[in-house]
Amino acid sequence: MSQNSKQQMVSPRDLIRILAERGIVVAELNALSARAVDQLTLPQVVAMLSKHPRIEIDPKTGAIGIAPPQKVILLEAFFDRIAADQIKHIATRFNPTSKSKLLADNQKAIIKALNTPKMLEVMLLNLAPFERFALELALADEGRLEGWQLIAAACQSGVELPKNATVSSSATFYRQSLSSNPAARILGVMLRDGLLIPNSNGASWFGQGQSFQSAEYSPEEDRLFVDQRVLNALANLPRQPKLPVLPLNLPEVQAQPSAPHPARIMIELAEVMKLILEDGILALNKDGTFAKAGLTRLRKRRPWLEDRLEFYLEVMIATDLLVQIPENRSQSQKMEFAPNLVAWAEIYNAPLSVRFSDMLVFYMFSDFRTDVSPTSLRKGIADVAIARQGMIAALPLFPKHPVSLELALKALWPRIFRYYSTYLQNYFYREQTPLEVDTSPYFRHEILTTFHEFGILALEKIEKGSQSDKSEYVVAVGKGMEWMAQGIAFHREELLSETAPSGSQNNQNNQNNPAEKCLLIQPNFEILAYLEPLSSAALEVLQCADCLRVDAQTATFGITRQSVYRYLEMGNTLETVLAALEQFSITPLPSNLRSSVSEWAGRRERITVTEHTILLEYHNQKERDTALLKIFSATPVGERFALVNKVPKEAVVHFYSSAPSRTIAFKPDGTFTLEGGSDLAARAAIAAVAKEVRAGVYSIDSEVVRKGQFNATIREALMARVKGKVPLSLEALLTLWEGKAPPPSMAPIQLFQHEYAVALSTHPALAEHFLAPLNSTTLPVKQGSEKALEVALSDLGIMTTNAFRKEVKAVSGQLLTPMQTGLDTRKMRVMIESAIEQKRHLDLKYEEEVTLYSRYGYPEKTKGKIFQEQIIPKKVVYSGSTPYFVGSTLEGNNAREIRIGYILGIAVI
Amino acid sequence: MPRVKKVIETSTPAVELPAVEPKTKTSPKTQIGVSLEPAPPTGRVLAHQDLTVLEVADAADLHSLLVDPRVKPLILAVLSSTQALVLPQNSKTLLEVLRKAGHTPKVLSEGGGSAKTTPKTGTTA
Repeated sequence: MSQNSKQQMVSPRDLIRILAERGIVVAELNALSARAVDQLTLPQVVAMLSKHPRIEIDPKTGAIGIAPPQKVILLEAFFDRIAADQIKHIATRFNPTSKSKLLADNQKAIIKALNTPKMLEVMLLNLAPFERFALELALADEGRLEGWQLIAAACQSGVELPKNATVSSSATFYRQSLSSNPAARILGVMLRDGLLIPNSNGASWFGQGQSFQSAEYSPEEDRLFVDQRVLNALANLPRQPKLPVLPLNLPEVQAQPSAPHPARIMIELAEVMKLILEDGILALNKDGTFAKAGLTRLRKRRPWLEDRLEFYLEVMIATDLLVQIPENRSQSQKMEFAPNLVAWAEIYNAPLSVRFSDMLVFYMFSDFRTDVSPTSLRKGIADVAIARQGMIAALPLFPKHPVSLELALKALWPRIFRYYSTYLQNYFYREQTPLEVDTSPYFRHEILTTFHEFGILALEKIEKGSQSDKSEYVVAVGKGMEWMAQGIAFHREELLSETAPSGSQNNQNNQNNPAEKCLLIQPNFEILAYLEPLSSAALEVLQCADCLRVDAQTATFGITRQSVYRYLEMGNTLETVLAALEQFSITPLPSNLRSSVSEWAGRRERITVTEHTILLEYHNQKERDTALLKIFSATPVGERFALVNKVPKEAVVHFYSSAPSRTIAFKPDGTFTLEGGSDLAARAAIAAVAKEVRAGVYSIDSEVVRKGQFNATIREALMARVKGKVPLSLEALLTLWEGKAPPPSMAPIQLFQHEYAVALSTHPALAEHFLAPLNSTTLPVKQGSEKALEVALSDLGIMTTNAFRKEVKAVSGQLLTPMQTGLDTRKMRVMIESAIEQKRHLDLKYEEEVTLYSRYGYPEKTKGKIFQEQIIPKKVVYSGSTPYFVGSTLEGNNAREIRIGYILGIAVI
Repeated sequence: MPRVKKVIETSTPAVELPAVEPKTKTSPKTQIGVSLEPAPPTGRVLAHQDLTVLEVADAADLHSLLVDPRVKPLILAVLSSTQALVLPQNSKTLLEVLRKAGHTPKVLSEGGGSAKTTPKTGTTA
């Protein structure tokens, strides 16, 4: 917040006083006497004030604004977080003459020392080399530094680090236990003595006195501060010379290690992005692993990517080029990722080396699969992100010539890697020398995988034996390292350019000439791209082609109709495609290629699909045409429609992306009426398949349905707008009209009716002539068996009549229906449900369900006695997934709840 | 074995509606639905939002799409001789079908009218 004051309202002396009250003191003005100040004009004072960094003067109004003061770190502000023991250490460091044992006295002694430049100077002159180095770094970075970078800088420059663990692992600083690793022990002394102040208790320097296993690396939490007065005192001392990086002194090995060119990595990454753009999404398994089928499908389209496909997908997810679709928007149960086009477009907005460097750093410290190394290598590595910091810190130490990897690791571990590893837990001997483990195998693995894949380090394998673990490697600095350095330098200059406007011009020095011609475009539609001069602009143009292969120095692309279409779909035009190709082409653009690309682009213009349109509908053409005169940029469509960009205020809006209004009401006979305003989909569906039977009443035209015009779209549009339910009979009719079910059968049949019909049907001479009973008194006779049945009945001495009675009372008892046994639970449930619907009784033989309790009191359900009785079923109920039915006995009306699975025999009567 | 040629029904497009009060006599080829009854009452305007419009350069192109058994079921209604309506939920399928059939449809988003160009998706999506 800036505070403005109008210059006309105050005298120069008042202005100086007001500003001084707000902490703005300009040395030039302060040195003047009061009389000299009075002789100054207001503009002169303002001009002098404007030199102060916190003063902002509006060039138009001349108003003076005061920027908020920068956060000044003072050690006493942290006193409430510092225990008495530590205060004593700080007092000893800042004011060695203080011998008091009282907390308050020690605090006063510290404050006194901090406010006495002479005492601070004495303290600073007695600092150890590493401590002086750390404070000098902090001074260069305005009082703050990142702890791991401090360790890295010290290791790279060969600054002598404290050899022994001079800080006890059980000590607490800022009321936190120190992490159990060499780096924390080194910083521990400075933390203890108040030379460094931690930004957060969550810093990886703290961690239950054991390791930083639980702490996640966060540069902001790991930041350290230095008291402003210490820095001011340090600034008054002569600066120490900047220490150069001391590379490893290792013998040169005669070999030619190779690494992928970083441009190749960017090209291959772009190719994978093209694949995902074509597919729309990338689906991962639920556990976050890549689906094999999906990988195979992608690999088929770019076979030359081979095993690197998975690596690039991982990089893209880690660097947010692919973002996860929220679960509620995802169509499937899988983890789905969509291309992040905004992030992808950024790739082309900076030199390729910068984007490469950004991606590498992003990937190194990403939460997504930060480590895929075997667990056996993780001994002594508590946090992969921190270990990778150590790996990056080690990169500048590699000599320019090829060296043995084993020798390099041997030299790097004591110099750098050990500080990025952790001590092993030693519960019994905490005060003794902590246990260190050689973590070189982990760093070796990192070099052989990530750092080689990114082209940072070049490798050559030297076979020493038949077993692969005996292989030795020669390592050298790769081209990727150069690009990474360029990227870091670019960002540093970018930061500087925020204060110095001319800095932006320097940025151009770090990239390839963006207009350099690096593509050889051939008449066979192939493009040869040279990797070395490839710029991000040229890579962007290559999106209009598909990569066919990448070699050490070149990459070959092919232009196809599909690739040009994809490029145009990204929002480019034919003109931009041709102009961009021409811009980077070493030779003139082949005429056949030009004409083919033009033809492909022209073909794309033949069909246009416009999504999310706003279509206006008017009463008639005249009304539409009149209305369009007042609407800007509207396109008339058909007779009374128009496409517009904005919904007019007076319009009634129908939305098609959300659930539609239910405006179609069906009657039991299958006819329907429209209730309320129907949208276009409803009207289109009705127009397609219905006919008006009388004013306002429609029915579905069976002929139209038979012709197959009641397709999925029409069905969906119609059914989504139905109020209530579609009559079951209409559903059945539609199925029949569509030919999805065979036509129903209708044939004359003779019925056998009697009170004992079912009982008679069990006679062996008669049974073969009957079909399944319709009810307990009526049985259909098999077609063609009518005569034979009559003969059989006659043989049994029974005469039949033709009189058919509407109601025949069944005789109760077991004679009525034969009991069916051995049926499965589902069939019996269906029978019971059918009996309930038809209001019929059941003749049942069943085992009752009883609950027994185990010796531990757990209830166990089991079968009990067998019963046989007639029951009136009421409803089917479930206990979990077990079906029961509730009913009452025919005699006595006693309630029953019978487990259907325990029924031994069932007959519907 | 004689090879049986697959016959594709080419008689009717997805929705064939007679034009209400036709202003001009149209040829049989282009006599496809241009009006969806009932029209809104006079003086009233309806806005149909989020529908997808399929537009072709030539009436013959639309006709050929409408007889394609893969495309036809996805068309809700024909608005004019070169424009057809598609429900938003069928939009993705339509594009897939068109691309599979060898077409390279231009895909636009947001608002119809004269807005024939969309911002560069690569930088603004």
